[in-house]
Amino acid sequence: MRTRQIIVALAFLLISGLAAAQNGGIRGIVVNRYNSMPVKDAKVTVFHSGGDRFVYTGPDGAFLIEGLDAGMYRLTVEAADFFKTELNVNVAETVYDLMNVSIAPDIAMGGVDDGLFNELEVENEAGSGYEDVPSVLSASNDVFDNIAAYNFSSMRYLSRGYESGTSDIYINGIRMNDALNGYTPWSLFSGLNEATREKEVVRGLEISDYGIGGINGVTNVNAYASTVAKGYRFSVLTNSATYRLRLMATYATGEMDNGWAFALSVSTRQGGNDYVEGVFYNAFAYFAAAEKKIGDQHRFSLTFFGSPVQRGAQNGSTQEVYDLMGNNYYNSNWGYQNGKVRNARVRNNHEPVGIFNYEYTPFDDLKLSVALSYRFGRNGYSALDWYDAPDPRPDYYRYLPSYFDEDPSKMAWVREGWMTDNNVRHINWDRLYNVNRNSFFEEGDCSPIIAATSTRSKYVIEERRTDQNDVNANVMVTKSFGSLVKGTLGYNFRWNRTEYYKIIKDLLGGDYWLDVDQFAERDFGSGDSFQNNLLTPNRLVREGEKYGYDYYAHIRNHNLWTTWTFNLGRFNASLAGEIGYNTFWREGLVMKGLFPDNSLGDSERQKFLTYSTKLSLSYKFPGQNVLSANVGYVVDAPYFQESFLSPRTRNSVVSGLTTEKIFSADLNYSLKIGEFALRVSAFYTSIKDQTDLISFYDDIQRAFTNFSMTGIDQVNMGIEAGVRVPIYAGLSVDGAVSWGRYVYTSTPLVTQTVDNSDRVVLENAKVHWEGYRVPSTPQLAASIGLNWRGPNYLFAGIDLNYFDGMYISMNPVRRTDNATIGLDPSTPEGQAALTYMTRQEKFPHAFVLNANIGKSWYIQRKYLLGVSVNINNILNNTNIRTGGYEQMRLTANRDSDGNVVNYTPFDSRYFYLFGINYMVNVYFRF
Amino acid sequence: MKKLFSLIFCLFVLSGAVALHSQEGKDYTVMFYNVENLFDIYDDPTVADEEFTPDGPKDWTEHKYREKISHIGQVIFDIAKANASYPAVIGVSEVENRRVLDDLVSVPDLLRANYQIVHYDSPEARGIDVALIYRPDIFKYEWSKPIRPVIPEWPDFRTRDILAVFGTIDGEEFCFFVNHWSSRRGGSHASEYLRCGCAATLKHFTDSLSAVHPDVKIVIMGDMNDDPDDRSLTEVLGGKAKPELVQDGEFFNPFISMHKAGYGTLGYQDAWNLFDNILVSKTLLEDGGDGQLRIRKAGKGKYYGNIFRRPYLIQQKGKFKNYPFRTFSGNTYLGGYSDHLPVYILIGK
Repeated sequence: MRTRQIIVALAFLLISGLAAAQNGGIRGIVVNRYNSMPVKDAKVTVFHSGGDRFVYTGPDGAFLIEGLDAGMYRLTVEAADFFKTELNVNVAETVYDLMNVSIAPDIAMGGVDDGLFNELEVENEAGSGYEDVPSVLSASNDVFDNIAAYNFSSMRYLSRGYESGTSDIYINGIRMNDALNGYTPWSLFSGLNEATREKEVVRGLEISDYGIGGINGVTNVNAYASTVAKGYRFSVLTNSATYRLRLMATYATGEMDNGWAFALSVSTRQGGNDYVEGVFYNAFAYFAAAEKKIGDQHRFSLTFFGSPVQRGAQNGSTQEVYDLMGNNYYNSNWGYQNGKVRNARVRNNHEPVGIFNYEYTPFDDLKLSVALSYRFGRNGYSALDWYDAPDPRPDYYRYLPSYFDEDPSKMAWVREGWMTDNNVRHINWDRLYNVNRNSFFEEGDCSPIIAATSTRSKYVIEERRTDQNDVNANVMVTKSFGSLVKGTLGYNFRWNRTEYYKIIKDLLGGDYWLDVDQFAERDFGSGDSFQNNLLTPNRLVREGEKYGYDYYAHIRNHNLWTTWTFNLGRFNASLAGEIGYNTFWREGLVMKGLFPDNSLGDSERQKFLTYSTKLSLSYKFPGQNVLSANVGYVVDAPYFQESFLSPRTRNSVVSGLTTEKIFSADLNYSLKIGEFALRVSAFYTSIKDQTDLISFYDDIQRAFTNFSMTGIDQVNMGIEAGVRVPIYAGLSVDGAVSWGRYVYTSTPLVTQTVDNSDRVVLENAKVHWEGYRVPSTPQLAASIGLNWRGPNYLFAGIDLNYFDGMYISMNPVRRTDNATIGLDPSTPEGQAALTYMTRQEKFPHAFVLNANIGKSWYIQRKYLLGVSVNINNILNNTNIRTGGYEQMRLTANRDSDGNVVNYTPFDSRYFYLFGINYMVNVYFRF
Repeated sequence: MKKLFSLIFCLFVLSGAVALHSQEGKDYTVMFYNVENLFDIYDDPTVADEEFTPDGPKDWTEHKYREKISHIGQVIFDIAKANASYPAVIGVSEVENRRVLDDLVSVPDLLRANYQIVHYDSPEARGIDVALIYRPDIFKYEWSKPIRPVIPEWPDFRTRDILAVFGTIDGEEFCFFVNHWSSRRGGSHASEYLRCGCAATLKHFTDSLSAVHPDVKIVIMGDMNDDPDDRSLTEVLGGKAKPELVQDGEFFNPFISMHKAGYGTLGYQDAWNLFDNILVSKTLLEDGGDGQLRIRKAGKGKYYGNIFRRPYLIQQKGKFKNYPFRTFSGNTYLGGYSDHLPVYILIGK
């Protein structure tokens, strides 16, 4: 019985197998290639080992041949007056559908080419006289830029020693650097990495397609709906040096057939880091873009994004404090409140940006672009403010053991407090609340008059706001003249109105704050002079209300620019020029008691004519071998933020305000042979007549004071080199060196004014810092690393970095004649004190070791899953100073009559590199 | 009188005809183009082509397909215009099947050339094949066959077959080989043996062919996934940089010197690679034997090889400026042409 069943089953299998084997076939429709009409009665022959078979096509041109075994077949299709056409078909288990098989009519062959190509304009390629030369590809950073970005940034490395605002950052063709101080606007789109991944970058003095650029490169972020990669992208990241968690999700449609494209991205960053207490992120980001292409000529695009961020800030402390805490990451900005960490200095920003773009390309060689942007929102930074009360900051110099160096027992007692008591080491929030709750209003004027049971806060949290309204309108026309010349003409207009003010963010348990100038009150007693706003004297301020100061910055910039590129085969030249007209002024919104005639209303309008010009030359040698030289001269207007003596109080402009003049030149050589890549650059830049404004609370003047410096000159010169040497298989050695000499080359003048008085403390005092170094950035940075690209998308690397030439940020006053009075260089003590006052501290050199590893998996040909891990400062060196600044205060040493004998500088404050830290990123795309 | 008139008339026409036909300056263009994933929109159940269907992640719709066909056709027509003649032979790689080739040769600007198609399905997983298209008025087809590359270290390995097509041009024997060798996935060094295996298979076949047809003019073309001076093309296949160095059984690769000069057909990690090569046998060189057809330089050009470039084939802006303007970047449709540039040589008397 069983055997029979087996036989039946086998027979069934065999039959179906045979049937299956015979299920193959070929079908198709034979059509006339010239008019797509079906060809009937065409003979379709299949060459078969078991015998050729043929069929004729029907009136619809269709044919079907069935009952073929699986295999490769040769077919011919023949029809009268048509070419005999041959095909090969691979038949499997089913009928293979060839669909249309077009056959060409057998017309007389003579003159296939001649008539036609003689009529058409035949392009004669050899005629241009210039060989078509391989172009330079630079989609990603070269070896040097890559290493500088990843390995040097933790040490506050500045490219070529230039400060932040020297780099131009464009978004969709609009220069988005801050109108008030030129700073790069990365924070506007932080957390939107996926949406802003597509960038066009030129470095140094190179001329960009979007503008003439400055001395430190131009980055244009293409944030259009169509430039965000199509599909879904998700990532989860943790970074023990910045924030615990970052989640990001992005979706883009890419350009669809109907010409529309949409993109969306959202992210959040939350949490603190392993090293600095009180620093936290509570940040979100969003991005939405839409784009419509009409034919090939018109493109409209709308992009809107914002990055609302709340972030606790870190403060640098003196070495004495770090040593007391046994920790170089101590942060004096926070304290415990009800057992929870509360940071007094919190940034709270939300500055959304909307950008509209229109591009019109009527011909391949002509393009018109229009771009409009609007940036608005809030930018706030909170801080403690206090009145008639001791300084609440834990590391205020009078709370440190060193203040009691004349009294050893007191010193020991203070030290004991620092070692053990959180109320000493950190902000004592409870005490601040207590003071406020017990601070009753004295009788006297205030508006409105309130009950005597109300409390007047002595400590508050203020929030200083810089709320911008920034509009940009750009027009650009680009025309190519053959392949030889390309020219662009552009006009940019910028309108900015920013309101500077502060509000009470938290009354810390009290009922009101009184809006008076506490310093003026102390100095001048009562009267009008201590009002912050004569229009509303003695005003009581509640939470969320403005107080202190309130003024607008008005800025109008016009720029007309042109760039020209000449492609002469191996030799390339570019020329660019720009002229501009910048005006700005201050408009006070309150009438300051101390300066009733010079605070409310418009200040004198500042007008500056600016211009810049650049020349770029390059020569491409055979092989991927390029030599280029760039030279430029830039005249820039000073920024609003450095142009007013005391912008919070009055309309007075810095005297001697003038344009900044920059001359820069660089020489570059790059070579690529297979996987070997080398780039070497040498640069020289001279910057003259810079202006700077530093404001801080001065103990000696016992007031808020402003230092305005003019005539700051510097020279930055150096060499950058990057090389990648492939060793074996996927292993390569990557190295980079940045050697620079960035020094101040003039004796600037400094004028010191005091916020609470008309008094000028120092007028045009000379700052003797010629030959001193530009601070912060390591002037020597070097890296050597081993990188491996393994099979199956595995990669790993390790790098050792060396940094030297890091100098402290200086207090200009320490180099004035006034600071060194009473110090006698002829005595050893005097000489020592003189040196201590004037020398610029150089930080010790440092070694940092990092490693990274990562892998990605391509799943089911559709999904991409990836992981990457970075471990930084593997040697866990927690004593590496990355930066620091001399405090602006000086201690006055007085004799018994109270006259100043000499000055001693305060201890400097430092920042340290985090010890070992890691980042893990997991991403998923499809 | 009438006779004289007729004679003069005939001479006139004849001289005109002679002028038309004695095309000493007219060379034949032989080109190769990796067209970057030319798939039709239909889901073929036997291969993994779902990526290129309207429902797949690339939204590969009829609209995009038509645009691509039109673009590739435009490139071929522009190469025709540059040389005042439709290319005699076009090798292509990364075509899904015969259907897409049929649509390509049916592009209106190309109709006059009456292109014929030689294509076999490759065993490759995604279904992309190589193919040869030829002008029947120039190339007289005789036979063709797909050659399976044999990788000694990995006998089961499947990659694109090498297509051999034999025929005559102006009575002289030619054999064209269209290649698409294994990719560099896993690393160029780690995968080198795969391409050496493809080269060895090809060399074996050309040696056998030359033994039977000593005068055959061999043209090897394709996307070799190696640069002209890599082992597979030099040591294994026998490609030489200069015609005078070519021995019997070896080949002249005009792209070696172009590669040294920094030219390329494909951009990768900010460097140019020259993966698309055309090599010719000794029989196509100046002193190389029977017949009159030889490899020729284009006008006053410096090289025997040509890489076809036009501004529309190149990305003009964006992060990948100066790279070839491709159709897709990942799943994002760019609407370009291909990530490779076409290459061609000229053969003439």
